[in-house]
Formats: sequence, C-alpha cells, structure tokens
Amino acid sequence: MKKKLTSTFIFSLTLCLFFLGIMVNIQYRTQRTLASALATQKEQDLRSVWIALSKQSDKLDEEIKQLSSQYAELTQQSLTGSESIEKINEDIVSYNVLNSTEPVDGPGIIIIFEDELSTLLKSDLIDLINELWVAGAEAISVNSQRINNFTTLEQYFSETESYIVIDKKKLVYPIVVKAIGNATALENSLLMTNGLIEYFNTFGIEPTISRLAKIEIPAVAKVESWNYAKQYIPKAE
Amino acid sequence: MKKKYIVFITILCFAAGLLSVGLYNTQKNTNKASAYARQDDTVFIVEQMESRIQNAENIIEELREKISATQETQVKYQSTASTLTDKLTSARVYAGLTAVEGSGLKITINDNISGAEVAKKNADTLAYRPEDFIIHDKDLLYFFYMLRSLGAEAISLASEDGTIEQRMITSGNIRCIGPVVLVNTVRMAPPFVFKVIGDPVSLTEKIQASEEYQYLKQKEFPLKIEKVTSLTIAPYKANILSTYANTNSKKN
Repeated sequence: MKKKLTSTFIFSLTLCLFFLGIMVNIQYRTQRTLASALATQKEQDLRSVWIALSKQSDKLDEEIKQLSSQYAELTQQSLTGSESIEKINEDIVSYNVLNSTEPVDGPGIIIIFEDELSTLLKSDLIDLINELWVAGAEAISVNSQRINNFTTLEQYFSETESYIVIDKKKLVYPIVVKAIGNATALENSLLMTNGLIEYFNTFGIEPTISRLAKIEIPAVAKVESWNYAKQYIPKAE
Repeated sequence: MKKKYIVFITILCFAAGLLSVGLYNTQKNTNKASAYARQDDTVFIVEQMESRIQNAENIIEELREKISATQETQVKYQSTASTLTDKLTSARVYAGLTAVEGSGLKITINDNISGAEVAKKNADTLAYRPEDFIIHDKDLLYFFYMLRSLGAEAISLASEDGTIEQRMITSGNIRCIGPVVLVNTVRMAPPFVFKVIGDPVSLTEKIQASEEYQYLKQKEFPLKIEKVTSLTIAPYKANILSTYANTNSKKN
C-alpha cells in the first residue's frame, strides 16, 4: 500500500513540474518579445524614435548626395586622365618615329646597288637620301642603319678601294636603301628626266628599284644623347 | 506520508495558478497594445524609416568602395602621367620640335660676288660661268651632312638677317628649283648661315679639316666661322605626321 502511494506521488509531482516548466518558459519568451516590439511601445516613445530616425535618415541622404557628387567628379577625372595618357603615348610614338627610335613598317621602295665596280660615293648616298626626304619619305635605312639626327657618313679612300662608312660601320655591297612613304611618288622622284638615277647611270651606277607594299625599317641601334644642346626655355618677364 | 504529499501538490498547483494568471494578463495586455497600434500609423512609419536607413547605409557603403577604387586608379594615372610627360619632353627636344640653346658656331657662307665680278671683267663672255661663283644646294647639303657627321647636336640653316630659319631635323632637306634654294621647302637666299650647337673648338678644327670646307675655300667662297658661347636654334615647325609609316603602338 505504501509502495503504491509513493509511486503515485512521484508521478503526480513529475507531471506538475513538467507543466510548471512549460509555463515558466512561455512566460519568459512572451516577456522578451514584448520588451522589443514597437507595437507595445508608448505613442510618445514611438514619436521620439521617429524623430531620431528622421534626423538620421536626413543625414544619410545628405552624405549619399555628397558621395555621389564626389564619385561622379572622380570618374570624370579618371576618364580625362586616361585620355590624356593615351594622347601623350601617341605623341611620344610620333616623335620617336622622327628620332628613329621606333621601328616602323609600311609601303615604300627598296633601292639596291649591287655592282661593286661602279663605286657609290658618299655624296651620291647623301643625294639619294636627300631626294627621298624631299619626295616625302617617312623613314630611311641604309643597310639596316636607320637614318636619324645622329647619322654619320664618311668616305674613306685607300690605294685599292674607296668605301663609305655609316655610323662607324663600313658599308658593304649590296647597298640596300629602304624608304617608307608613297611608293609611286618616291620612285618617280628618282626616275624623272634629269633625275638622280639618270645621273647615276652616266657613271655606270645602275641600281634596281622595287616598290613594296610592306617594308620594315628597324629603330636606331643606339640612342644617343646631347652634351651641349639643351631645351631653350624663354625667361618669364 | 499522505499529508506531506497533499501539501506538496498544493504548493505546486498554487505556483501553476499564479503563472497562469500572469500569462493571461500578459496576453490581455499584448492584445490591447496591438489593437492600439493598429489604429496608429506611427509604428508603420518607424518601420519604414528603419528600412530606409538600412538602404541608405548600404548605398553609402557601396559609394565609399567605388570612390576608394577610383582614387587608387587615379593615383596610378598621376604617377604614370608624370613619367610620360618627361619622356614626351625628351622625345620632342631630340626630334627638333623645341628651341634649343648652347655653345656652338655660326658659319656664314656667301656667293663669291667679288670673284664673279673679276672673272666677268677679265674673261670673255663665253668663258664666264656665273654658276661657278654661286653657292649651290649641293654645297649646302654636303656641308650640312658634314656638320652632322662631325657631331653637331643641333643644326639650322638661316638667312643672314635671321628672318628665315629652318631647323634641320632627321628629314631635313635642301634642294634647288632653278636658281632658288629650298631648305625644307622654304625659299632662302645667300648669305646662308648655319647655326650649330656643339663643342665650338673641336667642331671648328674638324670643319676646317673637312673636304667640304676645303672645297668652298678653294673656290674662294666667303666662309666665316664664329664661335658663340650661347646660341639659340629655332624649332622645326612644319608637319611631322606619318601617313605611311606604321608603328607597333599604332597597330595596337
């Protein structure tokens, strides 16, 4: 009898405690939710929150405006910067073509002097180079030596031979002169009546001239620099 | 034992009752508050405001990231631009597109006028060859290439009064059409003045030893070399654009 009573007691106690635990838990959760819910706040508190949030929102809008403006300005500057850099690079390349420090290719003519017996003189080579510049050549090379501001041309005579030295290198036959430009204009300037080729022919110098759609001319082998000349910058008044 | 059991159960039931009342009251208050809130838009506005602020903060974060990235790119551009500007200036100077100054020489070459007059008086009309007494384009052309070969750093060909000056760049050319000398296609008349920048002493010695100088002296052309401590040479001003020559950079 006593044993039965104890079992009933323990069972009832467990059941009661179980329900009690559930109720405590529900109460705790409800209280937590209520504490943070806007709907449970007082109207006055809600209005204060509203005002504070409005002020914050206005500040953020102002900041967005400023940042958008700054971003637009920076984007424009970057665009201008990249365009300027592109233009500067193009100009450098153009100047380097003039300085012969940039390899080039394009249409033009090739003049070949094969006959070693009919000696080409330095003055003949100067006449040829000059005639090609006059006819609009944009780049000239002589046996792969690009002509530029520093090109040196010398004539050497010995008992057995005479030869031209270009940029300190002996010019050996066949002498190949390449010129990039309007091929027709370049060729015509040399072949015209009383022109340079006619003049060469009177001395037995008979070069061959070929027009080509693409000729490659290398850059100068060595980039030289000045010791005496410097850029003239007028003094500010 | 039975009495003890009843007391326990009673206490527990009392606690459960208290909690039940508390729950009931809480639920009642909640319903009341919700009902009140539903009548007012304030909650809705506050919620909208909170959402708007959240969006604004996201936009600001995104803008700041974009600005930072753009600024980093700009710093790179500025650094590149500075280096490129130096390269550009150097390329322009060496191409002959800016005026240059330095020590050098002024070399004046003129027609042999007095020689021509004497020859004209002494020789008969058929023997007199006026072309022997004038400076030809070839004389100037070979003289110019001689100066370049001797290490002249900058060269121009000018009229004596200085009103015409042509910078001799890589493609510098001299020719004649009839009696007129054209320097880079610009008409020029004697006396011609070569303005040269380089070592005045060394250049003078080498020029005087050159074949071109000896030839002009032998033909008795007036030729004067002046050493100048500071000389300014004008830039090349004509067209430099390439129409036919392509570079790798252009192709890209």
